[in-house]
Amino acid sequence: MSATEPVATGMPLVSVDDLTRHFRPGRRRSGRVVRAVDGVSLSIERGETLGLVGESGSGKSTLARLLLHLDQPTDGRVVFEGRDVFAASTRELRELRRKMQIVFQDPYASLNRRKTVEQIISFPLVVHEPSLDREARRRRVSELLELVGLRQEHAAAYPRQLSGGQCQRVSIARALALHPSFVVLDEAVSAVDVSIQAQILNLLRELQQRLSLTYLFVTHDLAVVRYMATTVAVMYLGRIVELAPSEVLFNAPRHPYTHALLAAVPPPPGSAPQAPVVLQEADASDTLPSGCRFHPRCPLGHRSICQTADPPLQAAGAGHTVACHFPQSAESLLAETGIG
Amino acid sequence: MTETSTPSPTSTPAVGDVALDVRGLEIEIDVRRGDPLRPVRGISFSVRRGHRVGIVGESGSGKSLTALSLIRLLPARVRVAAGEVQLRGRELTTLSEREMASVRGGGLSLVYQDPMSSLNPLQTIGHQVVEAILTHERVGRREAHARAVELLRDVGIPQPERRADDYPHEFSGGMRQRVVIAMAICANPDVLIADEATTALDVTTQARIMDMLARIVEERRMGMILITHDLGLAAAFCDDIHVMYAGRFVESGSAQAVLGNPVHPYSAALLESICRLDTDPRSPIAAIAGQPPLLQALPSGCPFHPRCVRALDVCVTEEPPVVESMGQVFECHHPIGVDA
Repeated sequence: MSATEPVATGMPLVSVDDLTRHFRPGRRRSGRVVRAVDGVSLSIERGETLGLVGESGSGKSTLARLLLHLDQPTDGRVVFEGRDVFAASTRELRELRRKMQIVFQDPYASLNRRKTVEQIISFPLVVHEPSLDREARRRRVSELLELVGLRQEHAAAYPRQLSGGQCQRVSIARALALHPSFVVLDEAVSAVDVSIQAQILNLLRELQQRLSLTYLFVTHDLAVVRYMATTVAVMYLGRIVELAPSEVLFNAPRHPYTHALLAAVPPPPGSAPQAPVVLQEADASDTLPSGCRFHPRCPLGHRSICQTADPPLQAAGAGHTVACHFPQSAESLLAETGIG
Repeated sequence: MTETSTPSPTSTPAVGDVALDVRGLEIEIDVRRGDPLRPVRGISFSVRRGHRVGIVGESGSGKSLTALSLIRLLPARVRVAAGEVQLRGRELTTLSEREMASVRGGGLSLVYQDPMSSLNPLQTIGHQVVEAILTHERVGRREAHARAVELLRDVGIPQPERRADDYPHEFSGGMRQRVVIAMAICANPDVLIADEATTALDVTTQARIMDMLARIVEERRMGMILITHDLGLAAAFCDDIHVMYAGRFVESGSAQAVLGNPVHPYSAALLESICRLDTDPRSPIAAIAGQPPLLQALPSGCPFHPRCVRALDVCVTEEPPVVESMGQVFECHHPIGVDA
């Protein structure tokens, strides 16, 4: 890390305080409100990877966009390297943007198909470092290609001439062009082929080590998150329902929703199938359930407290928090609900 | 019902039990200059009633074109160049377009990845299922509507009487896919093909839809082809598996054998490269080097040789033989655990 940062060591790189983003779809008078992100607080330490998991509609991508100031919150704060992101002046924001980058899911959609790889990767340099001459930019592109495992010949190629995995490497190179400290990976390996996914995951981990990067890894794939993340946050309908260090979350999860997500992963080929945690299917409705917002789908949700009181995030161990009235292990959950 | 003359290489089905039998299927794409491309290069397999067959491969392996060719919905300039496709003994490749129209849905049904592409956003769910029923059967509208409601109930739509009046946008992704499945099975096809039908869905939804499909295939004694890039899903769901690479089945056998004891280096490498819940986060994943081959430049000899860690000189020069050993069929010069 550069020594000029106005930050005391030991402070998280990113801290999010009661962040909220509500949308009002349709006619204004309908009064409908979609609470995409609804009071999220968390922090991301330097050099760590925070895994953010949840189903589609849980608000994980909206949260990621808010962290990068790609969207305005309804309420709440994001502090990056000690600076309030939403209070930043245009100039400060421009500085912040160099440090926070994003890699999207669909590598073809996120690259301009009319530009060469060299133009794509050097574009951030053109915008943010206009003093660089052409030769210096070219050298930087060449370093970046090498860094992400592409060959120098690829500089002249167009995205359609590359495979999905190669395009994703270009996206990563572009994200790294300005030496960011924080990179959001939004389903960055979800669309690439199985045989390529491992290559990209290995590359991302290697880059994190070499460049001391901090990642926010957004995905619905629990196996990938377990491999990548140091800390995992599970999101459900705009809220974080469980947050813990990765080993703790995968070895001793406490929230029924986390249990259900884990039980839905097909078991590794050759291993015995696990007992299922039964979950009702979510309906495409935008009225938020009363009480605990997970109760209509929860195997324990018939209890009255779940239907009336919204459970807060409470400590369940070192660095482990759970928002549930009845947090418990998978075994006791299965025993209680009479399955398995 | 006719007995097929050549028995399936992977299984010896009982007489009359074979729903679909494919022999030596080859697909070509005509290009403006030069020889046609060959995305599918001679594959054979059969599907028994009540059985689930998985075709597993990466993008570009030819698996989706295989599905489209069976139901004869290949895009322009793509055609079946050779091979036989028999549905309960009836040859489909020589049928007229009109005869084929009644086979689609009636004998052979296809469910795609994106349910929205199969549904009309301007018509109610009920109306669309009724139309599907009326396409295949001479029944009155009232009768068809009653049948539609029952079908929707069968695929797991709660309160189908009420939900039949809803439009597709009022359904979640998983619910839409259930509706598409209801339409696909309304005329009791002999074989249901699911082409990445649950890929776009959340893990929890995917698990429930696969359970529902397993029940329906069982109850109705349908054959099923699951086309997927997800080995874990194929392992959990299928009886037999064909691993496809560059237009060939490089390994075929029971799911247990292929995934428990892969013989072909590609199957083995693919299995190792998957990030699973039990992957050790401390060491890199065993990724497969390189990229899947392009149709325009298929490697000589064995198409996998440039990425194969076990490749010998002969792999570069000669196409591998088709070998059958203990119920597994594979194409490899240097298979794993088999003495040369």
